[in-house]
Amino acid sequence: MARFALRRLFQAVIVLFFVSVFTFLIFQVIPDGTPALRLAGKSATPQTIAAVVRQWGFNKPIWVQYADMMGRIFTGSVISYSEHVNVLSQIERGLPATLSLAIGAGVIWFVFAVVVGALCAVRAGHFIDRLLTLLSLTAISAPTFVVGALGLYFLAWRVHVFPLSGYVPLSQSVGQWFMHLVLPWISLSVVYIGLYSRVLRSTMLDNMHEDYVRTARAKGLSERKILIRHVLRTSLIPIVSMWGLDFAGVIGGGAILVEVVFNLDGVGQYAAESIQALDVPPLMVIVMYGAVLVVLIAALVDVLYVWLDPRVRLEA
Amino acid sequence: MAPLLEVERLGVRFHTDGGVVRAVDGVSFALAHGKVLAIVGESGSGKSVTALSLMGLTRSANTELDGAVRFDGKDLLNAPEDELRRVRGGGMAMIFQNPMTALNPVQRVGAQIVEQIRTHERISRSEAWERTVALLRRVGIPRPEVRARAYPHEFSGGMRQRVMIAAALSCAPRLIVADEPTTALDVTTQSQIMDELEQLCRESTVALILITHDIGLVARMADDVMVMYGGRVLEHAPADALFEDPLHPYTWALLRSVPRLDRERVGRLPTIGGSPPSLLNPPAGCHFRPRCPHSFDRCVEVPPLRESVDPAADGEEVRGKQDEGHLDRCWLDLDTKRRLRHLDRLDTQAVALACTDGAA
Ligand SMILES: Nc1ncnc2c1ncn2[C@@H]1O[C@H](COP(=O)(O)OP(=O)(O)OP(=O)(O)O)[C@@H](O)[C@H]1O
Ligand SMILES: [Mg+2]
Repeated sequence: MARFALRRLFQAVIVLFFVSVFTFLIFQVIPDGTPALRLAGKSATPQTIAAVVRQWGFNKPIWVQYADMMGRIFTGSVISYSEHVNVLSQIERGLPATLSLAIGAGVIWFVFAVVVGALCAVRAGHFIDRLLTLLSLTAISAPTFVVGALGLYFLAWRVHVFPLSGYVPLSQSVGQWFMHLVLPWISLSVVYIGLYSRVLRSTMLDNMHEDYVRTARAKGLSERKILIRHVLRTSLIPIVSMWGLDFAGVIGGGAILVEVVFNLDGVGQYAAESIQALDVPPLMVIVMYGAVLVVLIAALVDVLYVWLDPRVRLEA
Repeated sequence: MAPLLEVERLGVRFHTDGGVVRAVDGVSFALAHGKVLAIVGESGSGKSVTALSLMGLTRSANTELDGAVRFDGKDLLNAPEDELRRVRGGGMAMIFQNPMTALNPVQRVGAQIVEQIRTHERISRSEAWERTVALLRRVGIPRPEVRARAYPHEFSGGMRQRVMIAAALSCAPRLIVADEPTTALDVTTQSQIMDELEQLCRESTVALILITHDIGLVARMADDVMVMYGGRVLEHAPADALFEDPLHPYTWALLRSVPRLDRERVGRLPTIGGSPPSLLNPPAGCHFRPRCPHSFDRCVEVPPLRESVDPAADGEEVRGKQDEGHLDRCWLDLDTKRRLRHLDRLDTQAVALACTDGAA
């Protein structure tokens, strides 16, 4: 297990290194190489530009710039081009909204997928299974922004069930926090609920015919216990690994769209605004922190996976 | 004393897309406390379906069951599901053919036995755990306190089957149904496991239904033998009677295909010509008729399963000098059978010898 963890850590460091280099190159080098011109303002004299270049270190070799940037990311002292504010404090401001959105959606889609998938498997071929199958397939083919827009139009605009947009901190009002997040959660989760419940349904139907399920029945267990402890337990393995990847995907980008649509003012929205302003430092920081988070989640899912499926341990 | 298990005209029909499969057709037998009944027959003869149906494991929307299965005097075939659950794994336990897949791969083996114990008895987790460890020790698993915490993939096939046996024994059953318990294992492990199973059954007077293709094993362990074919019982007799005086042509064919150590053979073992009947569309009359070298016009009627009688003493039916309770399902009369068997050159004594030799 220790060797397994060590290898994972090594892999993570490699991944983070490449992510940082590529992000740096993409954002720093490719979009018009002279950010100093933009930073110095429209009517800048050559002296001002030179001062800006020196101040931001644009005259240094590219790898030195890279090293400086990494150093500042690690110490949390990156300053943005556009407003000259500390990026970290900006991120901290947006973090609660983003985490509320992502974690809430992740929990919702997992729980609903398990309920829907298990229900379909148990009632396979019956009315409820067919209905839920139809809904799942619809959900899978509905893009996030369509669900979001429809939700906004019907449930916030036409009928005022939910607020139109914005984010209310959890510390301020639990009820308001919840109401403001319902529509974003739904628009983010719907696709995954559809997808995961399909996968769970077919895995469970396969596993129901496994020998160990017959053994469980021969031991005298009730159908409910057989279903939960034996069929469901083993069928969770594939969707847990899917969940890890997709949750990381949401953190690493999927949330941006929803944050913008619902004006949640989270980290994703900050990233979107920075892209529009070609403001490189915040993007670097957000991408790097996002990458660290994704790598951490992946490692966590691996641990969870090993716990769910002990056979994996041998291969580690 | 009343028999432990009485099966009366058990019938199992599966409704499939292709039609109705009559997997078990009028199977009757009784088993006394502590006895060993072997069920033999080719693949597809309905042995497993019979065994599974005893504890209601074939129940489903597409299955039609009839007849009666009385265990301890109570009918199980029509019992409600919760009553049946109390018997499963409690009074009647089952050991399956493939130990590689019969255990849940993601649950510790000890937990799987604890789960069974706590389904049937209201005892604490730690008590159940202690009993599990003791059971694992009893079936010959070294360091059971440690091994109980391991997962199935950390065990060899033989060790997993020992775990299954321990689970079967865990709630003091009166009957164990073992469906080809050693087929998936290598030969040395097979005989070890069977020795242990036999001893465990004898010392706790558990009755055993043993389904097997291994005639040597039957000779060694069984009190009674039931030969099945095409969902029906063709011959049912005490083991020694069956080996010394087998009466059904199908049984002869089965016995002839036993490998013999006492005689050098050229070429292959004789196999039974033809293939088992389709249960979707079985032949009329005796199911063995299409493959039977001795069939005659009467065989298009289904023969009854009965004790062979000697019709020689005019009108008055006199029992042949055979053991009581030796049933077979064939229209030939007793003398003809014995004569034909002799002509077929089935040396029954040599077979019996080979079987016991093979077992030794
Ligand atoms: N659930 C089912 N649905 C339809 N047919 C079935 C079902 N279970 C078994 N059968 C059929 O019933 C027949 C008897 O099968 P069974 O498994 O009892 O044979 P067996 O004697 O145990 O053979 P083997 O020695 O190969 O284990 C077979 O033809 C099989 O295809
Ligand atoms: Mg079988």
